[in-house]
Amino acid sequence: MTDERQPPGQPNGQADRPDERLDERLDVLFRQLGVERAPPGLTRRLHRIPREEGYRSGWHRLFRPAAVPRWVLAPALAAALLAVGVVLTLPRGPSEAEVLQARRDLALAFRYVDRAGVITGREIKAALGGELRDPVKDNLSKHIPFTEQSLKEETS
Amino acid sequence: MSRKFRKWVDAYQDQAWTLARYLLKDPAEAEDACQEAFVKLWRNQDQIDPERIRPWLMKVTRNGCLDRLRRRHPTEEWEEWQQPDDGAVWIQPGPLQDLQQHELGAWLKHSINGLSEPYRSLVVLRDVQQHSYEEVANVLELSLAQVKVYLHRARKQLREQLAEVRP
Repeated sequence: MTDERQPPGQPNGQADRPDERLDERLDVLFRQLGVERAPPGLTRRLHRIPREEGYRSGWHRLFRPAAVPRWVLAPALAAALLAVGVVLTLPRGPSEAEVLQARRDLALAFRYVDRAGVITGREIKAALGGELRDPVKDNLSKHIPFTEQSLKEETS
Repeated sequence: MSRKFRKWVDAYQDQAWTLARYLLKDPAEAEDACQEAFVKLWRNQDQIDPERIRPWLMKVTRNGCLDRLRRRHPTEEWEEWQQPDDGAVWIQPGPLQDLQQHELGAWLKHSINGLSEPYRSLVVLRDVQQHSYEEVANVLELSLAQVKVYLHRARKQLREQLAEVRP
């Protein structure tokens, strides 16, 4: 270790000398003082710290942010999110209520199509004659039996 | 982990102990302060740069000692004690004449103990323990310039006192 001690000098070099001499004597005394040795009792107490603290900290030290490298946290978080996403998007069968509702929606949609077909048939008949009307205006719903049934249920 | 900690204990316990001893004087309290500092080191070891263990430990030891002193000095006595002042920075150790060399050592220790903060920590860390200026500045949270100025003041007082004892 270098001794950088250089107290701000005084303009007169003569005045510095006694200070320098005293400084040197102080340095000698400081070296003699040195670092005191810690008492053995303290050393024993300090050596016991990992055991005492280790028991208390235990496995939950892992949950301290610094216990796991930060780069591990990002992939771990991504993996957790992916797992949640997969669970949420897994294909599952529709419930009975959902099937019934879907049938009703479909029957309604066909009624609109039928209505449109009737109107279109009239327009075709008016423009082109009766022969071309039937293939266009025939009810779509009569080819799909369950929609007929749904219509009856709704109108009854 | 435990082996590394043991290495730190063996390397730095004497320095922490010396600093605590100068600051607190009471050996039992100094031991407690050292233990507290090392417990904090154990708990925070993952967050400390391994190259900066010693200044970190010295800072924590000193802060722990100052907290204890604050509790010991509940009134303005503490403020007066810890303020760096242009005036007298130490308590006179009393008339000492014709001291032998070993007695001079005891006298110097007594004189350092009489210095106020941060002069006392400065002298202990820089002059007794030979830490670098940068490390002392880091431990005491002072600028490099402040460290040099305060150290100069403290040494000036010690020089003057030594001149009285050993002209």
